[in-house]
Amino acid sequence: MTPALAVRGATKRFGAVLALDGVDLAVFPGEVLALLGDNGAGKSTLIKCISGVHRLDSGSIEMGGVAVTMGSPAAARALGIETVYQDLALFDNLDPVANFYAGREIAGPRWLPRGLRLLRRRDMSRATGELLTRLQVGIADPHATVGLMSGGQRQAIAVARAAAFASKVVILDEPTAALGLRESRRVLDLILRLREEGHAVIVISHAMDHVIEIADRAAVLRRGRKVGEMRPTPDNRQAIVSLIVGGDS
Amino acid sequence: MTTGQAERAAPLSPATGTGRTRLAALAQRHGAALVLVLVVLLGSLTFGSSFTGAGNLGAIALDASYLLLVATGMTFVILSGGIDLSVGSVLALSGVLAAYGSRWGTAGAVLLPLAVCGLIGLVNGLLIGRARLAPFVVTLATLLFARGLAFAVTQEGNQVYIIPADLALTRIGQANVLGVGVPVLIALAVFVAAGVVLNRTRFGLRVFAAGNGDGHAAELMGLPVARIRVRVYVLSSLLAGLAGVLIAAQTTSGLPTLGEGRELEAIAAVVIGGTLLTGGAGSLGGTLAGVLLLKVIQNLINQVGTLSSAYQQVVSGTFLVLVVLVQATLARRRRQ
Ligand SMILES: Nc1ncnc2c1ncn2[C@@H]1O[C@H](COP(=O)(O)OP(=O)(O)OP(=O)(O)O)[C@@H](O)[C@H]1O
Ligand SMILES: [Mg+2]
Repeated sequence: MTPALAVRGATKRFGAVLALDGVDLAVFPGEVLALLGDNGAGKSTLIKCISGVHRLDSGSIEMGGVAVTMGSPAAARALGIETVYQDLALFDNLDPVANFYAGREIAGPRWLPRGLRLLRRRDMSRATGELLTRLQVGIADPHATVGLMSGGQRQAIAVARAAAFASKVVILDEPTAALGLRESRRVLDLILRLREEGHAVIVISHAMDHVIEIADRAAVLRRGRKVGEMRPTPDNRQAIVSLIVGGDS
Repeated sequence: MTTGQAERAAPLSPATGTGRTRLAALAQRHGAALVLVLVVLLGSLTFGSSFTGAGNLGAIALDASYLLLVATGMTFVILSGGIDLSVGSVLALSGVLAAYGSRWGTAGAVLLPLAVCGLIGLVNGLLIGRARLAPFVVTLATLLFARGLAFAVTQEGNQVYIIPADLALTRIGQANVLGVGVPVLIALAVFVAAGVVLNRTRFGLRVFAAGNGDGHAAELMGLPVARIRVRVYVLSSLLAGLAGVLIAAQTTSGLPTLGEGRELEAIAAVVIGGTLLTGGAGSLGGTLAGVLLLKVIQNLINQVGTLSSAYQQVVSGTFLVLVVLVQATLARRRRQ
C-alpha cells in the first residue's frame, strides 16, 4: 500500500539549531501514527514542514506516491492536509462559523466574479451547527467569539475545524494538552473516527496512555533525529519511554 | 489569550454575552450613535433652527461626507490590524492633481489623482504586506512624500490650478439633488458599498481574520494575508483620493495644505465608533456615527459664538479619551 504521506530525509535548520536531521516518516490511510519526543525534539517543526509553514532545507514529501512541495499552508490545505497547531491558530475575534470557514468561505451566486460573491452565511452557520452537534462539542453560545471560550472549547473547535475539512491527512499537535478528562475522551474518539473514515492521522502527544490507546504505530524523535518506531502497547511502554529520553545512551 | 480583540462581535455574529458584559458590549457597539442622538437633541433644543435649518444640516453633511470617505477606508485598515497616516496628505495631493488634471477635462481631473493615489496605496500595501514593515512608519513616510509632492506640483503653493467652472466635474461637485449635495450622495453610496464588502464578502471576512493578533492564525490557516493588506491600503488611498477630488470639484481648486490632520480626525472617528485600534473588531456603522458625532460637535461649538473653534479639538479629544477608557475597561473585565 502507498502511504498517504511520506517524508524522506527531512532536514531543517534554524540558525545554529539543527531542528530536523534526515527524518523519514510515512503514514498510511486508516492509520494513527503517534509522533513522540521530548520538548524541543523537533516534532512541531516536522509537522510545520509538512503543513507548509516552514520549508524543508532538504528532503522530500510525497502524497499518495506523488512528490509534492508545500510552498504555503494554503498549498498543503489544498492537497488535503488539515492541521491542528499547538497554538490552535484560532481567530479569537471571530465566532466558530467564521473560524471554520475563513479561507474557504461558501459564497455565491456562481455567475458573479469570485470577489463580488456574497457569503452564504446561513449555509455556513447550519453546517457548523450540525458538525458541532455531531462531534458533541458543547458550546453554550454559537455566536460568541472564540476568544471568550474556555481552553477546552477552543481546542475542541480547532480539532473540529480540522476534522470537518479533512480529506486525506489530519495532523494534531498535542490536541489534548489543555483538556479535562471528558473533553480528552471526545478528542480521542474523534481521532478514532477519523481513522475509521480512512484518513491518515498524525498525533503528537506527551500522554502515553492516550498514545497506547489510539495509535497504531509510534515514531520517536530525539534532538531532530528519528531514533525508532514501535507498536505502542502496554508492554512496550517502558521501551518507548527510554527511546524518548535516550536512557540507553 | 483573550484580549480586547474579543470585545466586539465578528461580522457573522451579533454581540452577545451575559448581564453587565452584554450591556457594556452594547454600549461600545452603539455608544457613538447614542451620544450622537443626545447631542443632536441638545443642539436642536438649544439653538433651534440655526442648527436644524436645512442650510446648516447640509453644511454638516457636506463636511462629514469627505471625512466619511476617508474614515471608511481607515476602518478597513484598522480592522486588518494596521494604520494609515498618509490619508490626509494623499487627499491634498489628490485635490492638487485633480485641479492640475482638469486641463484634460473631467476624465483627467478624476483619473490622474485616483491613479496616483492608487499607486501610493499600492506602495503602502506592498511595503506593509509583503516586506512586512511597520504600518506606522511606512504610512508616515508616504504622508511626507505625498504632502511634499503636493507642494512640488504647486511650486511651493505659489501656483494655484483652477478647475474650469463649466467642467462637468465642477457642476457635479456643486450640484444638489433634492437639497442634498452630490458629494454627500457619493459618500453615502460608497459607504453602503463598503458595508456590503465588509460584512457580506469573502474579502470582508478575511479583513477581520487578518486583524486577529498579528495575522499569525490567518497565515497558518492559509489566508493570503499579504494580499489582504495590500488591498486595504489601496482602498484607503483611493477613498482619500476620491475625497480630494470631490473637495477640489466643490472649491474649483486644489490646495496643497488641504487635509492637514485629516488622518488623525479619521482615526478618531473610527475609534469613537467602537473599532479597536488593535484590529479585528469593529464596524462601519460605528464609524458613520463617529464621523457625524465629530462634525456635529464642531458645528455646535461654532454655533456658540463666544467659544473659540479651538474648543472643537478639546471636546473631540475628551471624547476620544472617554471611548478608549471604556474600551480598556471592557477588555480588562473580559480578561478576568
Ligand atoms: N521558528 C523557529 N526559529 C528558531 N528555532 C526554532 C523555531 N522553531 C523551533 N525551533 C527550535 O527547533 C527545536 C525543535 O523545536 P520544536 O518546536 O519542533 O520542538 P517540539 O518537539 O515540538 O517540542 P514541544 O514538545 O516542546 O512542543 C527547538 O530547539 C526549538 O528551539
Ligand atoms: Mg511542539
